[in-house]
Amino acid sequence: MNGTELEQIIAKENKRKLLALGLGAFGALLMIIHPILGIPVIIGAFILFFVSQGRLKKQVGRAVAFKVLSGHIQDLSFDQDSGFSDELIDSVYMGFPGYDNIKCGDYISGSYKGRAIELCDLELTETRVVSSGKTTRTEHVTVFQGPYISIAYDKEVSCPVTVTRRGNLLKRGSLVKLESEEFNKSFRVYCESEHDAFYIMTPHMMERVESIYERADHEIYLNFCNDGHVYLAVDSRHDSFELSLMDSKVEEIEKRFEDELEYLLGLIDELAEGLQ
Amino acid sequence: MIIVIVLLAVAAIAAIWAISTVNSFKRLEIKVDEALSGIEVALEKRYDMLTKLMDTAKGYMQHETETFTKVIELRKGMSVKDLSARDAEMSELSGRLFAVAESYPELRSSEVFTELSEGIRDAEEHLQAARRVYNANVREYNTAIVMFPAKLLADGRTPKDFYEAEEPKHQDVKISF
Repeated sequence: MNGTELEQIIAKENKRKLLALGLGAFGALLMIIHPILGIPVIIGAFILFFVSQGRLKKQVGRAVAFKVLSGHIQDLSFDQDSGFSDELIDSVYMGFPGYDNIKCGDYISGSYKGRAIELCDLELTETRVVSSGKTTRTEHVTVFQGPYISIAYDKEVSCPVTVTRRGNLLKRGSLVKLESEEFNKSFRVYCESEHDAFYIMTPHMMERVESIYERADHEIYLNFCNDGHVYLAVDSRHDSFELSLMDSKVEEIEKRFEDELEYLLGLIDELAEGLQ
Repeated sequence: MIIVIVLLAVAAIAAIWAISTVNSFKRLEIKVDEALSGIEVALEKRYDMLTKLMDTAKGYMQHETETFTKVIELRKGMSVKDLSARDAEMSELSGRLFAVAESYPELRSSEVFTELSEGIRDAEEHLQAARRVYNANVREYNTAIVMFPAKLLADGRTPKDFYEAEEPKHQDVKISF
């Protein structure tokens, strides 16, 4: 699919969205006259809008993301509708705040600079029941949203080494104090084996973790797992390869995806450097 | 009556503090001993890997075996200083071995050599981790026994030596063939 074809699709779907918005406004006017007249129109407008939006995201997102990704990742596989399994997200303890719902999408896998990598957009939500006076309502609060990355590494550890800044919420592993007071102030390292924690968290790796945190500019979660993978999650509060309502020009979308990918690959580079 | 209760309470708090302080000293001593065992294990692993590498190299570099002439001795219960000295000797041996191996492309390209080199690298990383664990525990222990008022209960305990990798001695070293 070339740029012109993509722009034609965007223009077509954007027209549909505008039509949906107009229909919605018309429905609102009808509501003033009579709710029974207005409600079906508004529902129809919603359906039209979200169908157009979904189609746009699928087609354009897939084409542009694939193009951008294939420039950097070998043996690329990209699937907008899949992600890491819930079992994996649950079993790799990152120190996330409490959650009861997992949503994964935009799954990417391949080889980057000789390392096998996998990543996806992850959203964790917690269902909370809020009561105010006589009424109670259920809220779905997002506790984490951002990229979840897995990188293959060849160090063997007997138990996972978790590095997080939200240590007090962790219930697994013992707190390990490394020799750097500065690092201990900013991060908490949890592991059942003190030796494994020191083996992974070399002074060089400590520097890289600090650098990843600065570069990420958001809360980070790291787990050097004993399954041969390092897991890194960044609570950036947005999906990496999602189109926004405002996206219309292919070049702009490509530029945004390229920037997003460079950001993610920069984090992977830092981590890979620490693992050297 | 109130004064007696207050005095009893103070005495109870002091006793609890004293017990927990002495226990914490003992706990730290155990951690230091465990960390030292970790160094012994890592050194043994490194020693084994170096021995295997030397055995492999023997077939390729027969003219160089006389270059390595001192036997490295490792036994259980060595002092920190002795372990540190053995560590330095192994570093010396490792460095020399890889330097000499540069002249033997056939050896360097052999699969066994590559595997053992990676094994040695990994063993050295484990040794480095073990050293850091030991020194971190010694630092914690040494701090605990000199801090007031806990030092009143230190009962003759003296600061422990840190593990410092000695400068490699520039003499010929050998693991016996």
